[in-house]
Amino acid sequence: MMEDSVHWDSIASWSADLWTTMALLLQQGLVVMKYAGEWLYLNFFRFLLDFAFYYPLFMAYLWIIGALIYYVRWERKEGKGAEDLPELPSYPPVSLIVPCHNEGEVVRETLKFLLLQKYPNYEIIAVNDGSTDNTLDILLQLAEEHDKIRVVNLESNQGKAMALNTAALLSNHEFLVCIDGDALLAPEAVTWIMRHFLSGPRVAAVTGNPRIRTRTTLLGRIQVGEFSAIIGLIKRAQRIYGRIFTISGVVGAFRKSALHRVGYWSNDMITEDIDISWRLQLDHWDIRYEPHALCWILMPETLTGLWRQRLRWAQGGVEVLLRYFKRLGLWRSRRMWMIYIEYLVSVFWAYTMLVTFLFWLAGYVIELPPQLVVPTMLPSWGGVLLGLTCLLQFAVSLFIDSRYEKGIGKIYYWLIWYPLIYWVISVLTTVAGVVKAVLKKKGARAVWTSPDRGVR
Amino acid sequence: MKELIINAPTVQSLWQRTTSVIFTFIFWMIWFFLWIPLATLIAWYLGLDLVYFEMFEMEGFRAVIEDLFRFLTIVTLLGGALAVWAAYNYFRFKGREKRKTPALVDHDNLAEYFEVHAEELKRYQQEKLLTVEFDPEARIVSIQRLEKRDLG
Repeated sequence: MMEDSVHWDSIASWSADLWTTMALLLQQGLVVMKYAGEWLYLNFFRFLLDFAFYYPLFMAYLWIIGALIYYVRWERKEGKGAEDLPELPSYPPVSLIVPCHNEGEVVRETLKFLLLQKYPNYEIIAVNDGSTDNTLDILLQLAEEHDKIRVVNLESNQGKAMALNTAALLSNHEFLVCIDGDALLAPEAVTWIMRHFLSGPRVAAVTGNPRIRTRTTLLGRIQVGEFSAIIGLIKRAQRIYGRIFTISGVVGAFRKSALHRVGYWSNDMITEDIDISWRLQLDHWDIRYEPHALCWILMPETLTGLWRQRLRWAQGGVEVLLRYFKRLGLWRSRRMWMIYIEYLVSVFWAYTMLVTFLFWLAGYVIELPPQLVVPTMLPSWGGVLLGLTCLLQFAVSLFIDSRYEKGIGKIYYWLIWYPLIYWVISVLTTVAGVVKAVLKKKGARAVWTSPDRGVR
Repeated sequence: MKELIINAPTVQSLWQRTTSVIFTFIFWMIWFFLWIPLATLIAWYLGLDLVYFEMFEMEGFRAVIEDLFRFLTIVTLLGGALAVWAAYNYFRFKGREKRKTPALVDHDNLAEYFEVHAEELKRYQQEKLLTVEFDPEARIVSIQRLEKRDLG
């Protein structure tokens, strides 16, 4: 009995101590929060302004440095360019898959190009996904003329993901190279791609190097620069992080057994390419970028076309961000964190830019408290830095790219537009894409969008 | 490669072509406008005094140097981190392949996943022309050989 009461006394005094300590801590905590709140109020907006300005700048350097590391470590040592084919230890058979929806105008050229592949063993599967034009007739005619071509007809329109899934089901081979119905795969591309699959069993997918064909207008030329200076640099830099944000849907190759493990392509994601890239990498597969695997593509040459395409990309990125959010919290998903943070920060940046711009405008109309004033949208010494950085980024990327395309340096003159057009479109599409992704009906099927294929 | 690049100036009117060139030129000029501080510095070097006063008498250069220094530090840290990470991965995983070659997907796996008949699938995979029917939930209902005459 005695022992028990002593026991209870000590517990009571402990708990009194504990409560006092906790009250003290709470009090201290509140003081700290008060100061932090004040500090945030005074400085947060300034921090946002700095972030809005410095983010593109530092990212540019991260991409440049990453791409240069990639170039020095791998690319530079690999022959004289895309046409200088590597020797492979073996040449396993490959299925080339072309999903087509209303591609009557272009698909003949696409398939004729595939027949030129300098690879010994392959079949071509053209999938007609419920086209309403003469696509199927053309495919059947080509299949009759060429042994290698097989045709799979989907009786009703199912979307690109289902077209790819069906082709994967009916294909004969373990390796699938998938290109869009309006893209021309360079004859050397399959060999360059297969090199990665043969280098190790970890590799689930390889993404190629899309090259823009449509270069008549200013918008076309600016995108040539963009694919080189942004997309090309980012993919190289991301190979250095170890993970890639996305395979290019227009030219991607897959190991069927990896696809099988993750359940093939999702038919409810607006960008099935970003989605499959994330699911493969979350399942610990590697994705490689192969700059020598060239694929010549058509891009929009009107602002509306470009806007629609970019909005789709932005929405697709956010959909993936939302869907795999929970799985990313796991320690075993840590290799994806860089990519996740990179994308999340870019979304945050888009909103920061919007807020900054709105406050800048508001400053002209109403009197804002001094800590909320945006002095100017034109940076002073920062402007010098930003301007020089952009020019440097273009120079580096065009230098690396001249391996694949002689004379691409001429595009430099047109690139000056790129920062303005790209960053503005990127901010606006990201802002809108988040809203679209959040509001999207759950499980809604993704459908084809008829693209703007440039001025021809 | 030449024919792959579509640069058809004739598709655009002379007006469109000229405006592209001129506007781009103007934009280059605006771009240089961003560099006015640099231009001013050069102007000072060439003998104009205001910058001298601002930058040296008022010690404005300190802020610039400080900014530039901070900037270079961050770029170096970012680039260095990436390089260290690349080197770490290189040495950590060089020549190691823990993963075994995955089992190839066979007819049975595929047939089970897509809910089709395994033996029939084997046959379909050898067919040159096929037509596939789906239900509203995007499940395969039937796969058949596509006869040209079916298309009417």
